Amino acid sequence: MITSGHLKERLAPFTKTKEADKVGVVYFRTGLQVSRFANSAIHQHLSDENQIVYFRVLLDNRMGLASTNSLDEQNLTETFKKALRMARLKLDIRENKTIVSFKPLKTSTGVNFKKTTHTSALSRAEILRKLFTDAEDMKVTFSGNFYNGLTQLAVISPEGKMNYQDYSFTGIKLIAARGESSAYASRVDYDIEKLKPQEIAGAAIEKCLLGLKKTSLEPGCYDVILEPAAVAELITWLNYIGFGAKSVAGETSFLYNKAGKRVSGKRVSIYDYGRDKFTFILPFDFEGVSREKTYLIKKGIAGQPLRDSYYAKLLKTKSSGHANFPDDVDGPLGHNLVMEGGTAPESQIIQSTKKAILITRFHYINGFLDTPRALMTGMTRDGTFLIEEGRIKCALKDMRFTESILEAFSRITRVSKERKLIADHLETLGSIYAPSLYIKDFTFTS
Amino acid sequence: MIHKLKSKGALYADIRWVRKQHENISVFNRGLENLSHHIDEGYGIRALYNGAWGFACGSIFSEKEIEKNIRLALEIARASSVVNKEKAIFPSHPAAHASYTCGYEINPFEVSVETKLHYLFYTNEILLQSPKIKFAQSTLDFYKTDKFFVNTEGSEIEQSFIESGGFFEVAASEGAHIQKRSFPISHHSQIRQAGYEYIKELNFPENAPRIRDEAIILLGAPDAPTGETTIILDGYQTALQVHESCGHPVELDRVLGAELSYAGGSFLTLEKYGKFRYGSKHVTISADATLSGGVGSFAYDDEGIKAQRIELVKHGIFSDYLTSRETALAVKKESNGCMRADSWNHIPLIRMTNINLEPGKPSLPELIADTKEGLYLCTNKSWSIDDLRLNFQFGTEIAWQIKNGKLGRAYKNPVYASTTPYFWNNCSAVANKDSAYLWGIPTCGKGEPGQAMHVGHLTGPARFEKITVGIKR
Repeated sequence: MITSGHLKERLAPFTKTKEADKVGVVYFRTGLQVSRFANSAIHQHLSDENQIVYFRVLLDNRMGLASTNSLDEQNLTETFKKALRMARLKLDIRENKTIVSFKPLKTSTGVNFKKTTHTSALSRAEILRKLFTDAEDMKVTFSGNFYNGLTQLAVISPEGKMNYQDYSFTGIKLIAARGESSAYASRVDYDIEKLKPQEIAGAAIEKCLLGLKKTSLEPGCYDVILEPAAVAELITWLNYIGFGAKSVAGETSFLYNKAGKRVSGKRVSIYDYGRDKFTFILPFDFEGVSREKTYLIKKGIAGQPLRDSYYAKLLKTKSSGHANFPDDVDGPLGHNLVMEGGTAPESQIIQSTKKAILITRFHYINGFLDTPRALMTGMTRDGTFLIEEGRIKCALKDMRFTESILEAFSRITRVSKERKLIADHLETLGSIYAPSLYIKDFTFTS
Repeated sequence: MIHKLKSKGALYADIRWVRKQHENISVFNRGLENLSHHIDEGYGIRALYNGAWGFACGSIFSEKEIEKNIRLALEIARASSVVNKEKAIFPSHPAAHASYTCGYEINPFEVSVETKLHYLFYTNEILLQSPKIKFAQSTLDFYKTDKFFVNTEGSEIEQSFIESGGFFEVAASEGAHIQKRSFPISHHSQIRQAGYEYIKELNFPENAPRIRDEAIILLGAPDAPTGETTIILDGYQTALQVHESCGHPVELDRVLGAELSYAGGSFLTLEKYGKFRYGSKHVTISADATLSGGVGSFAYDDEGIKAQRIELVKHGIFSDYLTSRETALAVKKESNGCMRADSWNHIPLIRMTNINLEPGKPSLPELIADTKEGLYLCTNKSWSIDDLRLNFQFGTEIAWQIKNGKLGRAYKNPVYASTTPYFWNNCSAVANKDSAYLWGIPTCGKGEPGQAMHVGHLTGPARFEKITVGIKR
């Protein structure tokens, strides 16, 4: 890990150049240690770290962008010069790009736990050995991962001012399996002390043992109870196809032309907020702009999409602080998405259910079917149960849903009070804080 | 350094140095959205120690840092051995010495940015020549990858690849309706192991008017019919079908459970090996890492095994897996050389090479002429398959009606769904080799941490009978 002081010392001098109108620098680093296991044996065990330094150079309204993964002086200079060369290209094109100036934000504290970043492969292995041994008694094996690491983000403005944030993270994902039954449980946190792998293992085993005999249900419409992991997967896709300003500018989003209009049910409120304490915080975006609390949907009414400086100009508004990585072409996206909770305790939602399908998580959702309707398809996975008269009646074979998610969300009748932080640091940056939902008449097509 | 690993007790170890350059240029709605150049360089150390694996990596090349990472890889392997009851068995292999550079004519990194931008802006302009077009994106991607592999068996392998490609997409809208068309593939660039000459071959400007007009036609087109019918998939949709329902399920690490926590397992379990009827007699699927121009081609994999061509499905019978040195033991064979990592900081996994559907006899026009009623489905739009690679639902951007052997009207939002063995057993014809195209997909996801691999598919159109189409709420 390189300290923030060291980063500033190394990178800020590039902003002082007289060869360009403006220079901005972005630094992003993730260091990860991962124990990945299958059939209760570690098969992939690794330390993975990489970093990236982006130089943005503005000259006569032309932006040059180049990046490297090396902080070596010579590499940095070469990369900076490459960005400069790209900015010097004489191109007769519209660009509308700028490098944003900002007031530095105070770095959030209390999110970087030394114990989390320093947990060794051996410590993780010993915890896993205990989980695997305990599960053996119940003839259950585990697949999954157990990881810990650190993320660092720094953005340096043309004035040489720096926004810096780091945070530690850890997660455990367990798929408990016995025969044809499999069940998922996971937890992520900043602090490895709060991970409690035994609890997660217990939850996965309990669900796995409930699923030993599976029944098929005919395709059709059924009420469903979606647990937070399943809800988060749907929100991930809503984010990808419609929360960002690029999809609104291109008119492919379900939010296009809908600001202030009803797009879903009253129980649906989703926002993105970089300093939300229940998510893995990212207080500023990749332009250094503060990530403002932005309601995408509030009580079913469409809000404004997430913007960076480029799309803000295009949509004639202000940036909301949601710039993506400088070379990302997906446009602005949410990284700290929160769905507001309801009033019903989770246990009560199940207890008061006459007949519904309980879904632990989904698999392979695809939301490109009809983006203005947020039509999606996907499979249930690792823990699908039929609930009757307030209790689990039996486990179900996995089913495929095909459903407009905004329409489905308008049929939500209960939202749980409890919410859960969902993130997968091995796949993407960003996290979602989501409740459980009771939705009427969810469509299963096979 | 490799000798240090051996002297410290590693039963086997390899070090892989990789340097990757990527240039992306993207134009969106007449504006330059991205023009970036990235260089990524480092090394990964994989060590088998005490019967278990460890991996560490670094991007600082000082002796001190490399030694630190060697110690870390061994420490991690030692930690794995605390948990694992069975020791990993890694079959030895004769050392290889090779130097390989893929073929290309024009180095894309030596072509001026102005030339590339002109190509993209000109395409964008054609796409936006109608007020109904609200979204037009044109993109080019270029990659240069240099690798150097050494292992404790004495192998020293140097490889260098150049890849070029691009795509464009356009969306037409009217009221709340929106329809997208893409060329030559959707969602990301179509890439080849080739130089800038391939960009010329793709010829965006010539194809842009047709694709733009089809997006506009779709606005007024009816929804694709529902029911059971004959479908012909175009070459790209066939590639996706092969990718998801054959390429992934034949990865032997997946079959053995290595991916259960991510994208799942496979229905092609070990007892089916060599005898399961996967498809009809028309279905022969190969994996060919030697195919010229394929982005799944190489000289040696990341375990030092020579590139090969193998048949995965032979006249409908499932006949082989994609394997690594370690997993091949499960089927009592030697590795067929499919271990690749997408970068220096990731471990190699079993990955598709170029997975190809072997051509049949009819041309595409003959295939259509031979179809009484059905749909011709073009360009993938959505894809979803279950965690055993059985139950799937795919959508394409456009469907063309087939009636009495002729193409008719366009339909929007076509979707088809089936299960893998049923679907491939209902394959009634595969188009000939002149109808096939070498597709290159740069985003094949696998592993935790996630890896995005470049994989190829040489596929043409194929026909399937009695397939359920048009499922939606």
